[in-house]
Formats: sequence, structure tokens, C-alpha cells
Amino acid sequence: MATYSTNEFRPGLKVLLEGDPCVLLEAEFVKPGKGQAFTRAKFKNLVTGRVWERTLRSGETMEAADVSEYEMEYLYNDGYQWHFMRTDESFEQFAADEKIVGDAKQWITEQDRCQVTLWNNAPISVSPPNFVNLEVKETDAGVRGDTAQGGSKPAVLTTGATVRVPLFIEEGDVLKVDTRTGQYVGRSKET
Amino acid sequence: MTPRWQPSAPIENLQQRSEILWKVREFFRHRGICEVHTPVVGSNTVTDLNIESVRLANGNFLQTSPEYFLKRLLAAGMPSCYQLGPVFREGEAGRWHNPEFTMLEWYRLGFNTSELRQEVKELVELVLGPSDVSEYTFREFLLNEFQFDCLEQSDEELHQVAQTNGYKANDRRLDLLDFLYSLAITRCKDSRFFVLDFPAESSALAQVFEHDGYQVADRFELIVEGLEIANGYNELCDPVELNSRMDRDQALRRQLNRFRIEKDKRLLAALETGLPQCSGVAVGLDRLIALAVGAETIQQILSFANDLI
Repeated sequence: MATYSTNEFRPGLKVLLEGDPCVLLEAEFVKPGKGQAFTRAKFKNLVTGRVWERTLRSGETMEAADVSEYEMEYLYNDGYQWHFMRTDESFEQFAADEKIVGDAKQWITEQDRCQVTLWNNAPISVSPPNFVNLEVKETDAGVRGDTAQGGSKPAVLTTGATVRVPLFIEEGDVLKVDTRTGQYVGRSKET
Repeated sequence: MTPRWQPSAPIENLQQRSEILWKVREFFRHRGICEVHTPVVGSNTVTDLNIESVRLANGNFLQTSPEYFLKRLLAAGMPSCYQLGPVFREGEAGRWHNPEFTMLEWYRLGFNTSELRQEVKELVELVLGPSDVSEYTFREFLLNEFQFDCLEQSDEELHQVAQTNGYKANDRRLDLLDFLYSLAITRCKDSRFFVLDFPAESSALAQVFEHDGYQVADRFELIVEGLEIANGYNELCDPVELNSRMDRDQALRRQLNRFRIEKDKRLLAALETGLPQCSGVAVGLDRLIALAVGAETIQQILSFANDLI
């Protein structure tokens, strides 16, 4: 099994920490003048998304995690699982359950291109495209002429996500949304 | 592709660095402290377990501090003196470490550590401007941060505290204390503070004394903005004690399969003749300069850092 020593640490490295695959976010060499050397590191757990801070003895090694990321097309949901297919013409398909799809499920529609992270060849996380275009399914009737005050209201999209939108948005409008912030960007021109 | 040839530091930072060097030399001149230059290459080096020297092909070592040479000068009758120059530590590279760095080290005959701390404080104020400096004993410092009493509590409890704070390695007690100490430094909100009275086991070349029934080292460190800036001792003058500490270092090195470092017989002989009572301190001058110019890494005040030499 491949391992990395602390002196090979660089951001982006994928390692196993307490059995979970993690990505190294940052590492700093720390050494008290008369004490032993340490590496203070921040890891992001790729399964839970939580950030862990750990200090390692310099020279200590960590096991590499077999983690890779692919662009995949979201194919369909069979009621239990979300199915994805690699876009590199390998046509390899992967299924991910609700826990793994997580937040992405409120943004993705069929044929969207997502980033799917695999660990030991099984999906562990799904990132939606940064921007998606989704139709408004439900929102209160617009109160026009009040936009100068920056008024907003909730709108439910076809995927089930709720975003805050300006008052002039109506049901049936197609919106562009930034999935990283969950914020309304504008009305989509691709209707 | 053209290799990067430009310096690590912006030119303005190097100009400010020069101004600071002038001020520092003036500081010592005003106090009648003599500047000396001792060799950067020596046939001996420090036995300390946590300091690795750079070994040259001919078996000599780049010095990790001028300490041994300066003590030989003091034993030979040199009054209070300082050295400002490069020192080398194998493998120490990072945001606040460069394997070659500038050390300002000085010795004061007849000073105790409290008098020397006052002088260190004044030097730092000269470079960084005035600010309050608090003082904690090592014990207080860990008690405040981790509710851990390093003199009373067991190894098991120490492991527990280290684990909860993200350190899982199963280390020696002293290494775990180092870990807690280096973490506490980053958490302490005081901008400048001294830590004093280190555990006797990490005395290095400091005298050990008894305080409240415990053995503690008469040693201090100055921390500025979370960075270790200075390390000072009431210097150990007893050659028998020095010899036995070197034996202990050698035994530990053997146990941990580290490179064997011979004892410096000339230093021991100098102490036999007599090192006058003195206190000495080493300041990481590059870090101090970095703080003065507002740099965010040590590389930003070095002409050519380790990756560009």
C-alpha cells in the first residue's frame, strides 16, 4: 500500500485518516527550537465533508487513499438510487444512494454533468454543476414595482430546492442558480 | 523554461532588513557588548536529540548555534559578547523555518534570566516598537490552555489531552509536552509573552533549580505573535553535569537509531577551567525582521530562501 511521509505533504493529497478518505487542505512545519518537529495539517473528510485538524510527528507516514474524481452524466433516479455514467466514453455506470448524493439531489436534473468522487471505485460524493437552470414550480404571485427595495420571496423549483428570488419572478420562469451558495443568479436565457 | 532566479524577498524588505541590522548592532555597541565571529564550520556539534546538524563530507558540521564557541571565548576571559550570523539546521523548512537562518546570540556575565529577559524585551521593542510582555511559567501556560498540570498529572492523562487536541502519536512524555506547548503558543492571545521555568528534562544547557518542590530549568522563551523568537538560559557551568547530559543525549540517540554525535571535549575542557556565571539567549533574527516588515513567511525577508539557492 502506498504511503506518504509528512515531508511529501502537499495540498490535494488523498490519504486515509482513521479509516476515512480525506484530502489534505494545508500542512505546516512546526518545530519548537528545542523540541521535536511536527506537521500541523488540515484534512477534509471526503465522506462527511468535515474538516479535521491533526498534528503528526515529522516523518510519520499516512496511507494513501485510492480516490479519484470523474465527470459523470446524471442519468436517472430509480426511486432508491441515483445513476451516473462517466463522460469519457468508457460508459461505466455508478449508482449512489441518497446519503452520498446529499445536497446535490436538490439541484440536479437528468443529463446534468456532475463531479463524482470514487473511493475504491465506489461513489462517496457528488458535486452538482456550479450553475444549474431550473424552472420555478411554486411561488407567490409577484408584487411588481417593489424591486428597488430589494424585496425577495421564496420560490420552489422543480427539483424541490427553495431559493430566494426577486419579487418579479413567476411560476414557469427558468432560473439560473449557483449551487455552491444556493443563490439565485438571474433568469435563464436558455428557456 | 527559465529557472526562477529572482530573490525570495522583495527588495524593499531587504533594505528594511539592513536598517534593522544597524539598529541591533548599535543596541549592543551602546551597552558595550562586543561582537565576535566564530566559525560556521566546526568539528563538533550539539548532541541535542531534536536538533540535526548538517554534516559535511569531511565529517565537520555546520553549526546550529554559536553557543559552544562563544562559551569557549567566555571561559577564556571574553566579557559579555554577541554573534550575529548564519546557523544551519538540517531538515527545518517551512513557512517559518529555513535550514539556514540568522541567529543573534549573546551572553551576559553576571546576569540572571530575569535581567536578561528585560534586555531581550528592550531589543524587541527597538525592532518592533513597545508593547506589553506577559510572563507565564511553563506549568501555568499549559494549565491555562489545557487544564493540564505537567508536574502533577500522569502520562496517561497527558496522552488523553494530546489526543483530544489532534495528536495521536504514542510519544515520550517530553514530546507530548512539546506538542501541547507548540499548540498553546498559537492559541495564546497575548501579542508578546515569556514562558519560563521549563520542565527539567528540557533544560538543554540551562541550570536546573528547585521550585515548590519540583525541578525546573532556568530557561525562558519569548513568543511574539505566535512565533518563537528567543530562547534563553541561565547557563550551565558545571562540567560534570554537562558531561552527564551529553551522555544522556548520546544514549537517547543510540536508542532511536540517530546519528552518533561525539561530545565536544574542548567545550568540556573550557568548563573545567571555568565558565563564569552568565545568562545567554538566542534570537531568531529573521523572524523578528519578518514581524517588523509585516511579512507573512520567513521567505519574504530572505534574499534567497532554501528553494532558490
